[in-house]
Amino acid sequence: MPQTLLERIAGGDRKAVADCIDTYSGLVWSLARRFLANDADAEEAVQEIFMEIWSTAGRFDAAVAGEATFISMIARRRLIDRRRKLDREPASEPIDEVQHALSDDGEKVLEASAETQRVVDVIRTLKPEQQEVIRLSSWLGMSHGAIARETGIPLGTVKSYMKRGLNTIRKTLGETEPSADKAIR
Amino acid sequence: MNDIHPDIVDLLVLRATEGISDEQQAELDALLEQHGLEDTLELDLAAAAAANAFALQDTRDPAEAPEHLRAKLSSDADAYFGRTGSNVVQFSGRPVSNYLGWAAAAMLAIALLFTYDTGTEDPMSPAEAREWMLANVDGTDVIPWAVPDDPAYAQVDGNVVWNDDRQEGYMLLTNMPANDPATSQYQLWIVDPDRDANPVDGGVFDIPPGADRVVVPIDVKLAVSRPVAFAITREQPGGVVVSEGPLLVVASAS
Repeated sequence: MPQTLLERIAGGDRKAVADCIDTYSGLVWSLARRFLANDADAEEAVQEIFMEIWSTAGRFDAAVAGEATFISMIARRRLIDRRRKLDREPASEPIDEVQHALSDDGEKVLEASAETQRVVDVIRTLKPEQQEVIRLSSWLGMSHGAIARETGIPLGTVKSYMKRGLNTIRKTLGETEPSADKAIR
Repeated sequence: MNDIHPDIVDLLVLRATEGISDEQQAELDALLEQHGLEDTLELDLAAAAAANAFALQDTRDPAEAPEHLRAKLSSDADAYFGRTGSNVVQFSGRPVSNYLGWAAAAMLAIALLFTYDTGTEDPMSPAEAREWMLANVDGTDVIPWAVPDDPAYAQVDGNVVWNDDRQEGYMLLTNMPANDPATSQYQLWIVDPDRDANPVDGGVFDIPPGADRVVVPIDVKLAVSRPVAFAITREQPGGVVVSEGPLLVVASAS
């Protein structure tokens, strides 16, 4: 059975460290730029995130969630903590502009794993406004209050959309069906 | 349990989406311990998975980090894996490793937490929908309840929010006496003289004990046009087709 990059890193495989940077630095960098206000902060955060990835690689369990999800979780938590310390919102982007930028074409910062594709499919079943709330929070790092102000959706509804949306998504993680990022253990 | 579970879930959602303070984390820890639950990162993972789903569609960024940053990462890795002592790169903040609850027990715990909230319908509560309609929908009328004649209802206050175009409305009732649904239910009537001499059924509803402030959606059975009044009666369980009154609480548009 092939191992994941994180399992290889935990096992002392130095080549896997380089592969991990190649595979996930784009994703982590994209997240950092969205959560933080300037590139200097973002670069420092990316370095911290990868240090944490190295140190927690041995805790990754592919049966619980995919590798990209695990790495993105570490990144988001670090970025949230860092932004709370800086006490600032991410630079918000006009929603129309962001929506227009969505595309299935072009070079991507992340290749689709089976798990990520399942999550895409699940998100597409949600109401458009709920999809938007989840996107603004998870991908752009906006707070609930900022999302309410940006969209005009009542704060209570934003929170409700988040709660139900995350609950729906979490059910797609850790499934036992064979997939590219789960069948490797 | 249901009284406290929303607090736990709310904190877990908040932590996964915008972070929580050390004090809130301590509150969460205490609540989880109180209910015999383990901490879990499931919602953090869900938020991360959602981020990845949107990353997949967002092609504005270069696919790779800048070359100089990648070089720094490689250098950091060399230092980290080549170190003989403590980490060469020091960083502050709450390490994720403190939260890594991959145990199946934690997954079961959060599944239980969500059992109280499994609805899949529009998540907007009546109170939220009322607020939203007031703030966003033109032509929404607010009609206050008049002071009731019946002393038992003299403390009732609030209003009716109604939008004719949407045929949608909400009753805000404060200090409305509770009813026992086994013996009686409240019923709303909508007076629309242009439609019929008889008022239109606006649906039955209950006021639970201890509910000081209730928002009830109006369940209009027939289309109405510019209603002139809303009235509440107390009827047999399930309501009636034609009410004999009395009118307990009335909101008049005129």
